[in-house]
Order: sequence, then structure tokens, then C-alpha cells
Amino acid sequence: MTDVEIDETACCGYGNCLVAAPEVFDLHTDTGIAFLRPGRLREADRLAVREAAADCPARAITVRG
Amino acid sequence: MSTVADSTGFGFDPYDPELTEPAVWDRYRAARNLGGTVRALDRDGFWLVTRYDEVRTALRDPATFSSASGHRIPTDGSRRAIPIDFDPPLHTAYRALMAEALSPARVRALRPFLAEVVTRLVDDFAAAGGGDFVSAVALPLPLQVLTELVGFSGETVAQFRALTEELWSRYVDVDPAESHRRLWELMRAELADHRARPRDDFVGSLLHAEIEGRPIREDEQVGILATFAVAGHETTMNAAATLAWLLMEHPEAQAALRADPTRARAFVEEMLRLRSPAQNFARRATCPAQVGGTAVAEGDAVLLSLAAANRDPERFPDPDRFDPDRDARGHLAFGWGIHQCIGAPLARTEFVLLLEELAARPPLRAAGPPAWSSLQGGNHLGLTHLPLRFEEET
Repeated sequence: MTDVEIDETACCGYGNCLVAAPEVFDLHTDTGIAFLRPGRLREADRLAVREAAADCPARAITVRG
Repeated sequence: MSTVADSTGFGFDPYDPELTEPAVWDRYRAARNLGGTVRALDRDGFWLVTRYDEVRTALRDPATFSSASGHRIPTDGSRRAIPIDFDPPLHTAYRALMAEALSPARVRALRPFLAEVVTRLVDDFAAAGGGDFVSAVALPLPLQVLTELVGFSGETVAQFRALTEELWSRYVDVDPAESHRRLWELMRAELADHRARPRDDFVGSLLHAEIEGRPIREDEQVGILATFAVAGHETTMNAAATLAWLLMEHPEAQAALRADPTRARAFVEEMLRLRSPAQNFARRATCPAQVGGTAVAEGDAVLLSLAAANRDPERFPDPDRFDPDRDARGHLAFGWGIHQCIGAPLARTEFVLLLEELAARPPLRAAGPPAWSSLQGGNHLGLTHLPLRFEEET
């Protein structure tokens, strides 16, 4: 089971995660900080989530499993 | 089809004064149409990379495309800037130190100050009956922000523009050493002043910082401050003036923004995509690599054109059209990955505040012909002169 976490204090609102995995991530419209969209992570999104973590300039995304 | 390997190569000298508005965009388009990755023979030779997918792929792969030889052509590794001309792990340590001054939390805390600076500059501009938007608003904005953000004195930041212009002019000739030396002297004087009169600001924190568990060296402190001094104003100045130019050039978009200032964010992103202020960043291949269909040899320099990639029709349909309603997400104007612009959260906040302030005024109109720079340092495109005025209220 893949587990994703966003460190909201580290996130800088670059939005790279949205580009890599738009089904999983979104940005708060007011703060610009990333959050996980509601719902279970689909198997099909696993690779995209890893890409999002690798692309994050702020290293704010952790992926386990 | 991707390789252009004829004997003449593709003409692209990043320091060519002819590479300016609008010719520079034609040059990028020509390279894209020749397959995207083309061999330039200028300045010791390099690969110019212009397609979105290929530029982004290279940006995401710092192990193959190293920054340690510098981000300018030629990639000779001289006078490396911190942190952009370093690879991990040292890059990571430098960047973390600088990120403290630019975190979203810090930017949020600065927001009232930023809004006040923007309002005052635009007030003064309006009171003067308009004028050159570059010297009256676009340049003073980042300089004033640098005093608050870093702790530079007003006298110090007042010298940044002249020193930076000298720096760029020297790249066209041979040796930028002298202008670097003057910039570094100024940074040393700031450090000395902070040592003599300790203050709770970024320069102050730098005095006692650690890098990888050891005390930071003075040349590192100087390098970090020099990056704030140059990168901290050149890009912001060019982007701020470009925003105003777009308002002037597109009265319908200006009217739409005035009717609904929440459009400012999207307007800013489309400016960054269409007219990326920092256009070209070099890397050097650490091993044989493929860029699209082109074989790049170990040691080859590549010039990743963010500005060209942002006009790749495969990624952004009708790419040369300014469309503030389009989804510009994913543009590469701030770069991508570990070297992505550390000042992006700050810059975005400043630009949105500036647009909101301008949208709250009477319509902004041309008051004379604008003038554009060529690629400064092979990279920065911006307005050198932008005469504007607010329409008189009736």
C-alpha cells in the first residue's frame, strides 16, 4: 500500500506535483500550498506520485510502500 | 531527424546583440522546427535544446546534466555562482541555507511589507504623471524587497543595477573577473558591517551558518549574497516590466483584469510562460546521453532553453499567443527540479500584488516607444525602457 505525505511547512507551492499527478495533488487556492485530493490512491497513480516526489524542488513529498 | 550535424551548425551566440525582441523568438522557433536539439558552433560549441519534453527531462536529471561547470555558455566552470552552479550534495546544503530567507512562511510574513512597497511605487509613478516604468517601478521593487529580505543597506542595493549591467557587458567581451571583483567587494563590506553591528537578518544569520557541519567560509557567504544581489533583482525587474508591457499591449486583457482582479494569478503565469524572463541555462553531460533523438557525448555542453520550451506547440497550443485564460501550469520559466527558482514564491506574490495594484488604477497606456535588451548574460530578456502613463480620469 503506497502512502503519500506532504510536508506543508516545506511546500513552496511550485505545483510540480500537480503536473506529475493531477489526480492525487492539488494546491490550496488561498495559500498555494499542496494537498492530497480526497480518495484512495489508485494503483495507476503510483508511478506518477513517485515522479511528483522526485520533481518537488522543496522535497516536501514523502512516498512509502 | 533530430540531429543537425552539418558543417555550418545552427547560429546561436547567446551574447549576440541581435538576439532581442522579437528576433529571439524566431530563432527559438527555427531551432524547434529543425528537430528541437540543434548544434551551435558558437562559443566553443553546444547543443541548444528547445523542446518542452527534452528541456524538462534534462532539468530533472542533474546526475546526467551537471551544473558544476556553470549555467552559462561556455561551460568552463569559472566563477561558479551559489547554489546554481553546484551539484548535490553541496548544492543541497547551499540551497537549504538560502531557502530560509525565501520560504512561503517568510513570504507570507512579508506580504504586508510587499503590498506597501508596491502601492508606494505605483502611487509615486501616478503622481509623477507616469514615466519610465522600468526605472520608476520595476527596478526599485526588487531592490527595496532585498533590503528587507536579506538585510542589505539602501546604499548597497543602489549599486546592484550598475554592477550587474557591467557584469553582463563583460560576458560579451572576454573576462568578467573585474566586475565580479567589485560585486564581491560590496558583499564583503556588507558582511563586515554586519559583523561590526550585529542585526537579526539574513546577512546576520549567514555570519554563523554551517555548511555540511563546518563553519561557512567567507567566499561562500559572498557567493550567496552575490546571488541575492544579481538574481534577486534582474529577473524580478524584467518580469515586472513585462507585466506592465503586456497590460499596455493587450487592452482587452487589461480591462478583464480590472473587472476581475482574481485573474492576476493566471495573468502572471501566462506572462512567465510566454515571455520567460530568464531564458537559457547550461548544463554539461557527465556521460553519453540522449536528448530526444540526439546523441550527446560526455562532456558536451547543452543550453536548455526554458523560453523556447515554453513556446513548444506540442505542450502549449498556439504558443505565441498571449492568452491569460489558458492553463499555463507546467511552464518551465522558473526551471524544474532541484535548481528550480528558489525565489519563485516571493516573485509570484510580488507580481500578483503589482497586477492587483495596477488594476485598481485608471487604464495604463503607452507614453512612447518601449525598448528591449538583448539576452543579458546570454539569459535575461527584458525591457530597458517602458514609457507608460495612467489614463486621466474624467
